[in-house]
Amino acid sequence: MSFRTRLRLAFVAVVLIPVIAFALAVRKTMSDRLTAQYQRRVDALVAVIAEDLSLESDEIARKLATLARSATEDNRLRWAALGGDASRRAYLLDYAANAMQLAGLSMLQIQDAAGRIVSSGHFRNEYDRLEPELPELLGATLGGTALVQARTPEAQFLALARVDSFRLGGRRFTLVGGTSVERSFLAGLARESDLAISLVYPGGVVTSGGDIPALEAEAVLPDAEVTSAEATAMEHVVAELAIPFVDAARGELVDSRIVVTQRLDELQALHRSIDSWFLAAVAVTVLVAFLLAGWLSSRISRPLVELAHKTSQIDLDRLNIDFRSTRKDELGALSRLLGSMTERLRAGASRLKEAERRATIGELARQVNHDIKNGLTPIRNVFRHLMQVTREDVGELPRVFAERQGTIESSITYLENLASNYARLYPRMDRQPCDLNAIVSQVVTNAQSAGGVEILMELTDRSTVVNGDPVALRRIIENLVDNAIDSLESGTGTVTVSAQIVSGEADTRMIRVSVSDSGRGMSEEQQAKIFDDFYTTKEDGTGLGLSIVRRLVLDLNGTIRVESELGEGSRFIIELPSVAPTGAQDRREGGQGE
Amino acid sequence: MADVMNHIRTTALGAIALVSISGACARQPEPEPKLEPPPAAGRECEVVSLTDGGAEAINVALLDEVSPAHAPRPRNDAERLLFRQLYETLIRVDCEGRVCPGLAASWSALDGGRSWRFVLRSDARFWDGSAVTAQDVAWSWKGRAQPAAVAGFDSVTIQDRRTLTFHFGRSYPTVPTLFADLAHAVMLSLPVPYWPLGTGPYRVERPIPSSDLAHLIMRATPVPDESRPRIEFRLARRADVRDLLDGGMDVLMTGDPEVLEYVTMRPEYLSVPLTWDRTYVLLAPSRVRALHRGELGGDTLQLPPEILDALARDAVRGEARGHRSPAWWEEVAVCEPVLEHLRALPPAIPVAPYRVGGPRRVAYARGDEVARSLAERIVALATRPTSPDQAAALGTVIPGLLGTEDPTSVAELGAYEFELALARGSEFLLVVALPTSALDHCYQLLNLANRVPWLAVGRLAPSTTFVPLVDTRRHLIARKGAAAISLDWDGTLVISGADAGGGGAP
Repeated sequence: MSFRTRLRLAFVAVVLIPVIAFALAVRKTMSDRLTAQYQRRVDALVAVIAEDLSLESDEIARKLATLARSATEDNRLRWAALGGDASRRAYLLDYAANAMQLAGLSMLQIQDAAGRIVSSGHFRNEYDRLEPELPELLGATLGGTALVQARTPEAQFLALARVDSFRLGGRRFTLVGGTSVERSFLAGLARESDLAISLVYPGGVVTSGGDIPALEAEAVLPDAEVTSAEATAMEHVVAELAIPFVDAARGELVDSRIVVTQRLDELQALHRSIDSWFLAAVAVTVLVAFLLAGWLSSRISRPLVELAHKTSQIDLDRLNIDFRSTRKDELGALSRLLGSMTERLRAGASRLKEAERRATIGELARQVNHDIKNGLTPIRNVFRHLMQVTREDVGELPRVFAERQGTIESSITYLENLASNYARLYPRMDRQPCDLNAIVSQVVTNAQSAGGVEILMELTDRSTVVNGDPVALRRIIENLVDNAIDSLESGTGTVTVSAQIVSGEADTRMIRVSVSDSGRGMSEEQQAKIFDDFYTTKEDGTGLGLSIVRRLVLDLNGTIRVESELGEGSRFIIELPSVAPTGAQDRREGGQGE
Repeated sequence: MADVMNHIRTTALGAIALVSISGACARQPEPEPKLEPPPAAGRECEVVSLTDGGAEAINVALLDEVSPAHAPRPRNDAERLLFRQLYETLIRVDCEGRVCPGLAASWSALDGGRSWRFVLRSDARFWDGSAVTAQDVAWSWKGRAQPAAVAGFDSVTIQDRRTLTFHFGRSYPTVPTLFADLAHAVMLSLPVPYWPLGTGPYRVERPIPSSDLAHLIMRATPVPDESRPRIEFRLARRADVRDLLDGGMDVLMTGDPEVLEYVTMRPEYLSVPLTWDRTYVLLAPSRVRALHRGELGGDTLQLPPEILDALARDAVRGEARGHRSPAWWEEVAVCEPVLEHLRALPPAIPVAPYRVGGPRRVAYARGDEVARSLAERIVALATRPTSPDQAAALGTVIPGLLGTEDPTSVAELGAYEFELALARGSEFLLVVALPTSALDHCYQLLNLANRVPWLAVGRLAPSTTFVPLVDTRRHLIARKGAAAISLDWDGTLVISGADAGGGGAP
């Protein structure tokens, strides 16, 4: 796992864990508070419902009291009720209807002491009907309010009723009046759309909501059906208010109740909404965290990567890497440290090089001195002989000069060769894109034409273009091929030159050129020195060839190494950075790596 | 030669004598029937007199819906009042039962009273001025696709432009009074919404829309007598009648006791009780079935008078009395030919007869408050213990009314629905108003048989098939002196100008 990935994961974890924990806590708190608030609201509404019922009952009582007063003051009613005038009977029969309409009641009947209906507002023509138990039972209820089942000529209906009374001429009359309890009445009590009110009484169920159909008042439901009618899966009963019901058929008071149920859909919808927003927030947070982590990790790791890359480029021959940094943080400090280290290395390398150069120059000077002396000594000896001859026998001078001419010429030739060898040590580079395959092919062709040794080529068919001096590249290949040929004992064997594409550091595209031979091979000691200046295993070698090759390779930003085994042969491996091909070229070539 | 001449002379004389004798012995033409002279004008039927020349226009309130599609058969009091002013019948019968000329100037009996010939007035005109012909009269009735049986006569023949003869299946000793029924008014139909062309003393102009509480729906202008006041009919179906009086209405009819009481406080108005013109009866398919099976009879047929009076007194808001016998359906002995004809018809099988176990509804026609009150009382008696004697009496005459837990309720039906229920017998009980009196009992019997076929008129005595409950009447409320108003035999108002009574056109 890369540093960047670890950094990214760590950042995401560091951000998300507290955020999610916080969000969960907030969600739970919000949810709990919402539920509590909702419940408080429902409780308040239930209290309002109870209050409304009480107010309604009080209102009915007030109306009946007013009607009772009005009845005692109505002379025509008095005369008709006391039976004084049959012609006024119509007035009596119509009285309750008019009074009911004036008072805004749904039900009103006037009964005499025997319980006979003398006037009915909701059913005018049910006069003379006996119903003594109704006012008695109403009077017996706690609070004086009860549900009664009345009827009009068309149908039965349920009414919230009370009783009052008045006296006319010493005779007692009762007023039973009330308000119709139907769906609209219950809906008015409910006030809120998420509350449903059901009235459960022995004759059936009346509900306020539209979803649960109100059943006919005459229907008699088993308890199980009533219970199931009260609450469904999406509701729960929040309150039950008991209210007496006058069962006139049995002449008794029975229990009925107003059931307040709360629809949970709204609350659940609120919870779902909170959850949805919570999840959305978490998702956004995760996304932002990942993006931020990626960006931050990239920002953090990029300078490290660059630093690492720069550091990887450090070589004794390449100490000019720029580690300057304007950053004021640790990376900047590290960079500057590396820079100063590189500076010291450069200085040291410079001193080393200087020392080496001095040593080399000294060595070279000694070598040049030695070589020149070697070349000059025969010439000086010849001059001394010629001077001797000149002094002793000038006539022998031509003969002696002719005899000694060869010596002078070979020495001069020796010195010329030496000069040209020394000139090769520091060639001038002319960089340009060069096809290594072409250079290798040319070198091998030239070497093959010289005859004697089998030289094999294994070249990649992909692009092997490098940015370099074609002369230098040619010299490198020539030198290696010549060395490989020279290493073959008795001039037989095989030299193989191969070129392939490999991946270098940071996935850079490199061209690897290998020159293998089946020669005598080298020991490990020899391998360690083979690239040193003036180190040679040949009797007549200058020891500069491979050192020159090494320098040339390094100048091309490449690397060189050797793999060898005594008696088995050697393999020199050069890796040079390739000039990146175009995407099309690369796709044609089938990608990187072989 | 002379012999020959004498012989010819003798022969000619003999021939002439023979022809003369033959002519003398030919069938003598029937003597011209003695035309009944129109009765003398009388003011006995005038209930409101005109004073000081009256007003140019009279505001008349119509408290029910009126429609030209119903003309000339009125479906309610408002249409009865309106149609009487617009359309004429051949004859009129006044409040005393006297027959007066209408469109017909004279009439005579033929064939022992089995045919009656009518001669139209020479000045009889439709509103557009065209003369009324005998052909118009015949086509006026034919155009309504009225069955001959319900028309009351078998056929009609036309003698000339102004003379037509009706032929009956039985003999009428006096002029058939069925021709005074508004159903036999003469008119020419026009496409709705135009009112049919009539021959009455008033013609209507186009309906006038208005948003007033008592909005003017039409104006009737007098034809041809310019001295008559204009009548402005105002529809005030849902208005408080007292507001109408306060608003200056001149004429209206009502039975509302509150209004009648209010009128007593308004000296400028008078309240005239009209005839007892409507009897509310109870129709029950279960009763008819029981009669067919012989399960009902004797004392169980009708309610005792005290029960009827109690119903009239207590159950009905308005002027009502327990039904008084005899009613026209109890005097149908002379209608034997009609009954025989009805018996000869295949028995009517109700399309959707009421079945036991069905919804127990006591149906009445929308707008009929008396019927509603009676229906309510029946429901109250049938539902819970109320007046035991009343309930028991009712339970006796209506099989199945008591002794069940099934709920009974009232049902208000629209006009068409109600007629359908009557025709089919598809309700448990029906409360319907019948005319208390009839011009022609047999004609009314035919109408009843046509309207309620399952009563089996002809097979069952009409007086047994239904239960009469109460008679009602209304009051005419009129501003004093606003117009001259008289009454017909059935209490229908006839509004006129200076001369309210008399023969000829009203």
